[in-house]
Amino acid sequence: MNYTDWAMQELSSLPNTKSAYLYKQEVIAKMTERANALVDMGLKDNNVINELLKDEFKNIKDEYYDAQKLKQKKNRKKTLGKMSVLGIMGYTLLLVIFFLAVSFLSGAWSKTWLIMVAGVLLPIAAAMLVSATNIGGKKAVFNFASRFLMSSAIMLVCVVIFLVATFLTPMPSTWLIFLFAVALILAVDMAMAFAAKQKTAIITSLLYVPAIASIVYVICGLLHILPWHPGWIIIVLSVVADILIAGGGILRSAKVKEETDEQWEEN
Amino acid sequence: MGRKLNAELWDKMHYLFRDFNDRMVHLELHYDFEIDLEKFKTVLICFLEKAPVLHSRFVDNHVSPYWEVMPYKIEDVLTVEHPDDIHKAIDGFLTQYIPPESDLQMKAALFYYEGKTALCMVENHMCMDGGDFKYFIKEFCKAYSDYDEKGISPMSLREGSRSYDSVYSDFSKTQEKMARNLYRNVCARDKHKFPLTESRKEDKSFIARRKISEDTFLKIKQVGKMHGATVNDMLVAAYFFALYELAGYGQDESVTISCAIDLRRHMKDDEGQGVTNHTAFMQCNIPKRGRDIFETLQYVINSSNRYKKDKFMGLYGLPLLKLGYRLLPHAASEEIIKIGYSNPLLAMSNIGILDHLALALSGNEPVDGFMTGAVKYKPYVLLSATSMRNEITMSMCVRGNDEDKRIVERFFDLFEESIKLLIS
Repeated sequence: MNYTDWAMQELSSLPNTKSAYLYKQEVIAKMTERANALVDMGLKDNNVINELLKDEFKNIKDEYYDAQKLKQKKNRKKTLGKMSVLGIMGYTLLLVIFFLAVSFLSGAWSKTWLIMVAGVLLPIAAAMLVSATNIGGKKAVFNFASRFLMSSAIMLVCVVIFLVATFLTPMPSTWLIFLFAVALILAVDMAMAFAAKQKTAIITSLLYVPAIASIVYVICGLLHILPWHPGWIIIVLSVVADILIAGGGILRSAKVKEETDEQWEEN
Repeated sequence: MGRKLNAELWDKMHYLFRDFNDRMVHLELHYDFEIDLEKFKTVLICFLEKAPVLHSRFVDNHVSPYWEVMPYKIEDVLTVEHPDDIHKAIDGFLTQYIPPESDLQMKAALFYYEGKTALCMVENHMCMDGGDFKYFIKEFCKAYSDYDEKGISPMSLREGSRSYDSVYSDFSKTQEKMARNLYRNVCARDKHKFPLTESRKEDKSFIARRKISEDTFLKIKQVGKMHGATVNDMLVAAYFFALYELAGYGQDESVTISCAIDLRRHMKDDEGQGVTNHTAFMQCNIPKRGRDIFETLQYVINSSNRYKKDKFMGLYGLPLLKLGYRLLPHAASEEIIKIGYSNPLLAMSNIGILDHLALALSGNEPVDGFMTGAVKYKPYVLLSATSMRNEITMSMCVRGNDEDKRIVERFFDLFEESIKLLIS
C-alpha cells in the first residue's frame, strides 16, 4: 500500500468536518514533500520510501486530536485574554468612580489618594503572586523570575501597608515595615526552596535563618517589644537552629546512603 | 531553517574536547565480496534518517548550542572508489576531519579492490561513542542482510533520547537521588606524557596499528584467568610496562592511565535510547612500575577492582558537569569547565569485540577490521583496542610527523614484548 492510501485509511475514522478534511490534505502534502526529499537524497526503492513514511507519520491520527485539543486550549486562552482586558478596564473605571465618590463626599482629598495607590498596587501584587507560583510549577523557587516576582509582590504589599499606616494611623516608626518586608522575603524564599525540594534548600536556610533572626532582633529592639539585652539571644538561637538544620541534613543523607546500600545488596 | 535537536551534555563536552583531539571515531571492515552499492546506499539513507543528528550541523550558540538537521545527498556521505593503492585510499579516508559545523557528521566509503570491498566509516564522537557506533554498524549489517535477502525495509535502528541521564533510568529512586548528587571532579592530574615530539605546523593525522595474533590473544585470556585479571587488565599492564620503558619514567614513579568505561553497564536495556555518548573514564593508577610485569599487573588489578566494587562506577562528575552547563550560558560554562577539567595525557579505550558473525553482510563475514577512537593532538594519546576473530588490533591515532610514527611503532614493539613477558 502506498503512503497516500495508507494515510487515508489511517485517517478514515476522523469526523466529517472541514478541519479534518484540511488536516488530511495537510498530511498528504507533508508526506509527499518528505517523499520527494528522500528521492532527492538518493533513495530509489519505493517500498522503502513508503515504509519510512509510514513509520515517520505513524501518529497522524493522535496528532489530529492533539492539534484539536491545542486549538481549543488556544481559543479558551484567547477568550480569557479578551475577558481579562475587559475586566481590567471595568475594574479601573469602578476604582476611579469609587475614589472620586469617596473624595467628593468626604472632602479628604489628602488621604483618599491612598484608594488609588492601594487599588492599583494590590492587584499588581496579586498578579505577581499568581505568576510566581505558575512559573515552572513546583520548581518555581529555582526560577529566578518567580523568586523575583514573589519578592516584588511582598514589597508592594508592604508599601501599601506602610502608606496606610503612615497616613491613616498614629503608629510610630512605620519605616520598620520595610525591614519586616526583607525578613518576610527571606522566609518565603526559604520556604519555597524547601517546598520545591531544592538541593540548595539547606544552604539557603543556613544563610537566611541568622539573617532573619537579626532583623527580628532589630525590629523587636526598636519597638521595645524585647530588651536589647538579653534579646540578642534570638541570634544565638538562630545559630543553634542552623546547627540542627545542618545535622538533620547530614542524618538524612546518611539514611539515603544506607537505603541505597541496602537496595544495592538486595539487587 | 531545519529542525532543531537538543545539544546534549556529552555533545557539548565532546565539543569542548576540540583542543585535545579531532573527535572522529573510525571504523574499517574488509569483506571478501563486492557490496551491492545501491542496497548499501538505501540502508545508509534509512539509518541516517533514523538518526538525524548524523546529518545535522552543530550551532555553537553562545547561550544554548543546538543541532540543526540539514538536507543532504547520499553522494555527499558515501565515497565509492576503485583505488590502485587500497591502503593509501583507506588511510586517506580515515584520517579526514569532519567539522561539527558541517551538514554531515558521518562519512562512509566503499573501496572496491580485487573482487573485495573495504567498508570504512568516520563519525563525529559528539554524536555517538564507540559503544553506540558498534551497535550502529551491527544493526546496519543486519539491516543490509535483511533488506538484501528478505526485502525487509532497513528501519531497525533504535530511536529515542540522547540524554546523559538515561544512565539513571534503571536505578531505584533512592539510588538515582544518590547518583545525581555525586558532585566530584574525577579528572586525571597525572603529568606523565607519552614521549612524542613537539607539535609542528606540518604535523598530519595518522593511524598506527598493531595486530596481536589469535594464539597470543588466547594465551592472554588464559594467563589473565590464572592471575584473576581481565583481558583489559592484561593490556593495560602491558601498556604501563611499555610506557615506563619508552618514556623512561622512574621505576618508583606513580603513573595513571585513564581507561574508558561504558556507562551502559548501569542500564538494563537500551529500549527508547537514541545513538549517543555514554562513556566516562576511570583512573587506573599504579604506585610504581613493580619489579616485573606481574607486579605491574597486580597493581592494575588492584586499581581496577577498586572501581569495579563501586556501584556508581563512572557516574562521579556527571552532576558537576550538568551543573556547570546549567548555571551559565554555554560560552561561560565552557570557560568554567575548562578550568576544572584536565584532559588525560595517557588514555586507553577497549572498544571490545567486533563480532564477525553480527557484522556479516548477506552471509559474508568480514575477514578483518577494527575500530578506533579520535586522533589526539600532542601530547595527548589514546590507545584503542578492538578484537575480531580472536585477533586484537591495537591502534593509536596521532597528529604528528614521521618521528612520532617511529615512536609509536617503537611503543608497539615494547607493548608486544610486554605481552610476551606476561604470557611466557
